[in-house]
Amino acid sequence: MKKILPVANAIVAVVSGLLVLLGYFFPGVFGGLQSMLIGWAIILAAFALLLGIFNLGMVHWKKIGKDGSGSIYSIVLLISLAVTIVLAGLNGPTGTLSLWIFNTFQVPVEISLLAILAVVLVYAAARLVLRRPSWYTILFLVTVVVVLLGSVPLFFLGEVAVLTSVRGWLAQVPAVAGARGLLLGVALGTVATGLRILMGVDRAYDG
Amino acid sequence: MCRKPNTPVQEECLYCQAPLKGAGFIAPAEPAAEGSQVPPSEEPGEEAPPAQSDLFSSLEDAVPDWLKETEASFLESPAPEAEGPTSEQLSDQIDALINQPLTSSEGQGPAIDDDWLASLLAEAGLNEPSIEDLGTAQDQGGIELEPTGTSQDEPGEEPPIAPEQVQKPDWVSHLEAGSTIKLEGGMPPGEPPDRGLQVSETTGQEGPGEVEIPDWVGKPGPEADTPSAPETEKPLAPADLPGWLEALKPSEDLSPSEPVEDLTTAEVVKAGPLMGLRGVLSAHPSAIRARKPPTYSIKLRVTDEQHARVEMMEELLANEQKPKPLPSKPIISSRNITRLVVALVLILPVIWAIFTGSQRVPLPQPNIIPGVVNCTQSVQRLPVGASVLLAFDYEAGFSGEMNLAVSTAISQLLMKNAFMTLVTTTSSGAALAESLMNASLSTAGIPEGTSAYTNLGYIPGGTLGLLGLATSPRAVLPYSLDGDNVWAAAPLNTISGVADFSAVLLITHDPDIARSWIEQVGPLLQEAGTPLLLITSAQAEPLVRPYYEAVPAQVQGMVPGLAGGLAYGQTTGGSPQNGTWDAFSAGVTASVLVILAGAITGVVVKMIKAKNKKES
Amino acid sequence: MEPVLNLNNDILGLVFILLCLGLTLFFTYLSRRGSAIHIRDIPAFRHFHREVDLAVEAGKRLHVSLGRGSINDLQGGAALIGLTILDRCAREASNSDRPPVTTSGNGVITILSQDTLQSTYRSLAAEERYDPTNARLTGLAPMAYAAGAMPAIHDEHINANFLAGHIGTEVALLSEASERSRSLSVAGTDDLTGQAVLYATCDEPLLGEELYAAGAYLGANPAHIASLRMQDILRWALVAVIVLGAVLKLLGIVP
Repeated sequence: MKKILPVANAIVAVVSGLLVLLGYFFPGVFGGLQSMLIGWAIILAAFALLLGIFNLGMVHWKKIGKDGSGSIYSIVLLISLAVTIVLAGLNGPTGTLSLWIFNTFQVPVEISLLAILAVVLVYAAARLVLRRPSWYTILFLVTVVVVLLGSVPLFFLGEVAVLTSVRGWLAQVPAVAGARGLLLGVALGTVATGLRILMGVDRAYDG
Repeated sequence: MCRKPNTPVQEECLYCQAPLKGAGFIAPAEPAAEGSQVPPSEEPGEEAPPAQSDLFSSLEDAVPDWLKETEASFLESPAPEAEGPTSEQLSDQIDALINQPLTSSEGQGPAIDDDWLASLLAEAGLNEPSIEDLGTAQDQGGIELEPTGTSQDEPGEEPPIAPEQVQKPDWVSHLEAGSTIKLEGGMPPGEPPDRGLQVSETTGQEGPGEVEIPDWVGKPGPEADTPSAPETEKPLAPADLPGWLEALKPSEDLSPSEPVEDLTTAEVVKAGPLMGLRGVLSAHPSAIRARKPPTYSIKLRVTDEQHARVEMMEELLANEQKPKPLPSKPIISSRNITRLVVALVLILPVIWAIFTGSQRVPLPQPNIIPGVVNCTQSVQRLPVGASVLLAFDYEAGFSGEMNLAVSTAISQLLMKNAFMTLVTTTSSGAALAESLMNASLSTAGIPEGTSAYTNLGYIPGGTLGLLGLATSPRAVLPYSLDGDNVWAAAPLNTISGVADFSAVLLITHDPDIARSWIEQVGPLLQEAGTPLLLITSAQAEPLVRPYYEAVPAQVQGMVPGLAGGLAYGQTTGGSPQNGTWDAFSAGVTASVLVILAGAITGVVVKMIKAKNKKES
Repeated sequence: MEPVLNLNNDILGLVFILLCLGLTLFFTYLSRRGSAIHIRDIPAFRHFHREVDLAVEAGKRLHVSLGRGSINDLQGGAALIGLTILDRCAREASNSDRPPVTTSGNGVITILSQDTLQSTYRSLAAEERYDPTNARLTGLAPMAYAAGAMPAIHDEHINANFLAGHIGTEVALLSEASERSRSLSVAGTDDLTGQAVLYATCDEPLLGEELYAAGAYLGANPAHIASLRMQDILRWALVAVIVLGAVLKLLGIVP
């Protein structure tokens, strides 16, 4: 059984992947099968989401059992999780209470984290020369400064037309070109990864 | 042969089983006893036991007469006096020992090196009347040998020595005395052993089959061939001793010291190889009592300083076992202070601008930002009561940047009396959409619960779900979040595919989500001529702009970032910014200043370090 | 009846897929025959082995974060690479007192990471070391995922962080947390904005498709090296096609 299960898993994965791939190229022949398999995948993803939430609860439940400084936060998390599930279940995802929880807690917290992110990025950019001294770093910082200055009129100086034009050119020509190149490389890597899965060489699902 | 004393009546040695009855000092040879020393056990005058072999008979014949006479005198003399030989006597004796006269070249027996001496010693010990008398060995007679002529060339001139004149050499007696003395680390000085030995040439009695004497023993001169005859004793002339020999010679002034202990009452060993000796440890196994050696307490003399050092060492070793507490991280470090300073530099201007409601910075114009005008016009061109699909695919954290543009778009659609269908591919999109709709409705003065929109909720499956939504939205989202079958009633009952909507407005912060919508849903929209409008974050604008600027355009209108939202708001009649644009400008200016300061500082520090490195 | 194939797009796509598959199989065959391949040095992967050894010696643990990408999307490729890195981490640190901990922002990735850890320990005959809570879902939204992963970096005695998957700008928060906890951060993502942030905040960033070479550099499988060669060849082929197309467009040959 221990030897049969991994082989069976590999066969199922490879056959399913091949059918979905062929469904893109031969929709008339494999289209129906592809839709069915994709539907199953979507349902499994939804259940995986539930399992992930259950895993989250278990991790923090274990953390409460251990003596540590973080146990109080685990208690808060578990209580919040339970209250939100109960309220959203009773009130609906767009009910008054649910929206109150969303607008009172989630939105401000996420906005605050994004604000912290802005401070972190500025601090990291300020230390970049010390951390990674190279000409690429200088180029990076010059680009950052030009784009920032061209994005908005400066508080005391006002808008500088040259900077706005340079910023526009930078954003549309070299930045997009580089981004397209990166995306092509990422796409090739994704294709290679997918093919390794289809060949059964790379098994993330080994049972 | 083993030099151990045996009783006179013994025919064989008690220890080595060598035959003791033989002629003189040479025991009768036995094949098994070859090479072993056989001490002579018979008294002088006794006939030697019949020779076991011709070899030993010839050896017997090779023993010089003086030696035989010495043996006889040793055995007969009561108490030879121990006298220290003179130097001349010593040299003569040694020469005599070395240059033994040879009887003939043919029948010479083998040279006897030390065996004769050992046998002599043994006989001296064996021929004592009783074992108890060994304690007074000093008085016992030994072979007293008078020095004889030492010349090798004139061995024949040496007179024969009568047995009664043979005295036990002093060194033999001293050896005996030393064996009875319990020594404490050294040999007691004693009289030098009497090394006087008389070497008499052989009488020429040669037996058949004699062993040849090796050359190194010395060849006697022509006079050696002549049979020796008993000669009258002549005093030996003193010889000149070599220096080294002189040094070896024990001092004559020294007198044998008295034994350290009086061994007269000491126990005599009755068995074993040391039998007969007094005051020695018996080698007999039964004499040795195996017992545990006594333990002695060892108490070191330790000074106070040493004691203190020992304690220090013990403490050091003990501390190795104890884990050292980790150094606590400083709460306030330079990095934390820098972070705090940067945060304050960024936040304070923003707060000031918001609180003061500053409007110093000019607002962005719609014609400058590409896509804003087209977006406005696309919405304006929609028919009244049109069905519009709104996809809320941005995170709550980007609300501050994008809510202005979204609110403006919703307001414009409400003015058009459009029916908005809300979908999302993010987990929090449904709540975000609902919240925004409620806010926009309240702003527009439209009561809640109106049928201006329907919220279909979350599209599972990501990109796959989008493909399904594009082809069959009813299958992917059959019900609204309220549980209503909205596809059965107007206005969605005429919608079979995404292309049937009048417009699709995608609100996202992520360029990947934008690309997914454009690539999965866009082709169907293009075929039907349905406009795809985008409200994006500033971070996604560079990657989405090519789709807008493509020919044919895959995106018909876009509103990027806060600037685009403000510009879009101006196109619909202007919305108050409440210092948002000024705060944004202040924040960006502060960021630029911080980055420039940090970069310049970094460059200067690196240059200084490089300079110091070069100098060192 | 629907056409079996759309000639313009489908055939090209099919040919491309078959070409990739053929090249991968060919180079896999060559590598099994013993043909050596030289790959350039990437400092991030060099530090990987060192950090794993340091973590084992110091009694600390490794943190692998797989991002929030879904398997159903394009971001699934980066997530699968993250699982490969997780497998190598678990193997190399199998004798450590503290097994590696993994965080993710997607339910499917969380389950796959649990399965990866379990199968790794099973193959090492150390299944008793497997703890399902070592693979955690920290949050479903990007900021929630980052906010949940940061305590793991601070509290779990982390020696090094390997962030591999679809991670956006929130990677800056994770890098900041690793810097505060004085642990190394090696990160790679397929998200473009995330890569820009990585360059400024991370100790060892993996830019572009360097993330997809992780399997080849960490010795996961010979097929990884074969697919790396395939990527290199096709990259040059794409460059040639793009340049040719631009030239033809410039000359007016292609409308």
